[in-house]
Amino acid sequence: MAFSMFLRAPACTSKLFSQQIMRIATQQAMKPVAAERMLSSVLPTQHTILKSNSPPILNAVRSFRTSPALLQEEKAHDHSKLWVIEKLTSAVLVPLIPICLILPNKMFDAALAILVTAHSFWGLEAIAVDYVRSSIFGPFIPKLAIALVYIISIATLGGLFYLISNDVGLSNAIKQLWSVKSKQVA
Amino acid sequence: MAFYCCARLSNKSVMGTLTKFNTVIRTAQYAQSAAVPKITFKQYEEPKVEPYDDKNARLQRPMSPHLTIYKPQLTSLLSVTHRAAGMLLSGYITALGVGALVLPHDVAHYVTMIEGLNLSPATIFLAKAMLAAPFGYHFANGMRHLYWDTAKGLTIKEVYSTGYAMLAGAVAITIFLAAL
Repeated sequence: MAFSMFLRAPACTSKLFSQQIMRIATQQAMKPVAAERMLSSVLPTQHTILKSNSPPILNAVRSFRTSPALLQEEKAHDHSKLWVIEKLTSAVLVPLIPICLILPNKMFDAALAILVTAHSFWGLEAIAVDYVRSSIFGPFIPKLAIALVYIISIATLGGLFYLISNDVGLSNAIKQLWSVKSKQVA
Repeated sequence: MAFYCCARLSNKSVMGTLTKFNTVIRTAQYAQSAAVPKITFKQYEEPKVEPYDDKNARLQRPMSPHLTIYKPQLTSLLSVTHRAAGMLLSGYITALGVGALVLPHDVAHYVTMIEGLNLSPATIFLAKAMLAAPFGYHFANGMRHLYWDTAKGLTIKEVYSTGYAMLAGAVAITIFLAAL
C-alpha cells in the first residue's frame, strides 16, 4: 500500500515519468542482453517501438497509435542504399555509352546491357509507383504494373544478351542501324 | 503508513498535519479512497480507419483542380520531358532487346530492308534527329540531375540557368548524333 501511495505523489504522476514507464513496460520481449541495450536508449525511439511486430512484455496495457496518418502508413522500407546504387549507375552510364560506341567489344556490350536495363527498370518502376496508385486503380492493378515492369526488363536484358552472343553485339547493332545508306542521287 | 496515506489523499503536506492530527481525522477526507473507480481492462481493438480517398468518394466530394491550374514553368516542363524521354528510350532498348528475341531475321537483314526504302539523305537526317532527340535530352538533363545530387545548383536561379544550358546541350547532342 505504501508503494501505491508513493505512486500517487506528484513526481510519479507527471506525464514524463508515466511516458517512460509505459515505454519500458510495453517494449518488445527480448533476450536480456538486447533488453539492456534497449533500456539505455529508450528515449527517442518511440516510432520504431510503435511499428514493431513482436509481442510486447505487457499485453494488458499497450501503447497504440490512434492518429489516422500513422495508422495508414505502410511498412517502412529504407530506399537510401538503393538510391545510391541508382545514381552510381547513372553516373557510370555517362562515360560508358560513348566509350562503348567508339570501341565495340563483348565486355563493354555486356556491361552496357546490364546497366542500361537496370537504369530503365528503375525509371519504369518509379513511373509505375508514382502514377499507378492503389487509391485510383484498386488493389490489384498496381501490382500488375510492377510485374509488367519486371517482365519487360527481364525480356529486354535477355534479348540484349542474345544480341551480344548470337548476333553482331549491342554497340555494333546500334551503329549498323544508324549508318543506313540513303538513296544515292544519280 | 496509514497516517501518511491519509495525509497524501488530503493533499496536505505530511509534516504540517503532524500538528493537526485531530483535524485530519475529523475532516474524514480519507473517505475519498472509496470513491476511486475500479480499473477494468478491455480487449484492445484496432480503430477502424477509412482511407482518405475512399472517404471522399463516399461523401461524393468534388476534387479541387490541381493539374489544370498549374502554371506552366520551366522546372515542371523540363522534369516531365525528362521522364517522357526516359520512357521513349526504354521503348527503344526494349524494342531492340525483345525484337532480337522474337523477330525472325538478324540485324543485317533489317538494315538492308531500311536501305531498300531508298530514303533521301534529308529524310534520314530528320529521322535520326527525331530518334536521337530523346537521347540527347535525357543525357543532358541526366547530367543536370547528377549535378543536383552533389547538392549543388539547387537555387531557383541556378535551376533556370542550368535548365537553359541543358536545352542547348541537348540540341547540340541531337544534331551531332543525327549527323553521324
